[in-house]
Amino acid sequence: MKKKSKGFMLLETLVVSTFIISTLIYLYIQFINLKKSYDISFRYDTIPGLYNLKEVDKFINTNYGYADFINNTDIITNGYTEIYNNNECNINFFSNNNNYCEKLMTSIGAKTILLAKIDLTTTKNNLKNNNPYSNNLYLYIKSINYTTNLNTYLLIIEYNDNTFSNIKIEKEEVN
Amino acid sequence: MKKRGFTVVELMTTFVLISVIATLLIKLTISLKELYISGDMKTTLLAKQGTLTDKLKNDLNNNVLTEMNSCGNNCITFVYNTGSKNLKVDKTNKIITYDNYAIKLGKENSFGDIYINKDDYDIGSIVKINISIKNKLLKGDYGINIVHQINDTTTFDSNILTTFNK
Repeated sequence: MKKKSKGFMLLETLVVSTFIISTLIYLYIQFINLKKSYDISFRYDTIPGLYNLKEVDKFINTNYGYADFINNTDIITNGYTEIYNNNECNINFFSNNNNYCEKLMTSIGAKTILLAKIDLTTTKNNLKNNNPYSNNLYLYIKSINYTTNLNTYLLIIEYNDNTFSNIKIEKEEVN
Repeated sequence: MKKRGFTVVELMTTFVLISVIATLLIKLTISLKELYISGDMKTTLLAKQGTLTDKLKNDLNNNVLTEMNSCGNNCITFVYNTGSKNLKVDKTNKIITYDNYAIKLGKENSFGDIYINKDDYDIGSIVKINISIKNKLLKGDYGINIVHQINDTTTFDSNILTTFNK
């Protein structure tokens, strides 16, 4: 006589549970990614960040102009040049008005400021291989994607509060 | 004897697996709820911060600032070539007013440091206006942090430095 089984077998329970757990884990991973993107949306290109970076642009444009910056060896070979990092303005550019520069950067809460070519391919490659800055700054730069215009440059900033911004330096400003 | 129902092993296994699933679901639900609440608060605060910053910076950038005077505790008068506008912080009622625009903060928000700094250099001065706004449920500062470079011809009432933090 055939044995009549009642209830679920252990194997059935395991298969169904594994399927449900896998689905839940997949949902959880999707949720973590969503949360990450959501957090990033509050940290990238904030309004105060953009206005404060515009003050840096105003300072450079009024007192120096961008010609020396874009003809610098760093920007030609690496795709970017450092404006400010580790609480110091780049002495190669700001030997005059260095105190003013550092006060301005401290006031806006800057951590790192870079001037880069708008085509960030070289910058991204260089930072991928040798990144002297934070990984968050690298991730931010990786997320920037403009239509290439060779005569345009970008001011990119990382603030101490872990927010990031960039503004385009227009062609007429550069020339 | 005829056996009915589940065995102990089956019951225990099912119980453990259901517990794992329930824990994951609860964690997911709590995280979603937190994300929704914090997102809503952040969006509201950032909208207020953005609007006020935008109004102030537009005026500072598009007009000639001739004077900055104190108009009482936590109050500054910006005198432009086109007219005057007051920036006032009412700590008790949690209201910030600039010209005819006012923002009221929710009860979960509070003011942090409120100050104004001015540093003079040969090529001009750097003015920093800071109105820190904190939220007890969120990390970070959602206040006004404006840095503006002015030339030496702007008259700056030094009384602002002592009255804009009381």
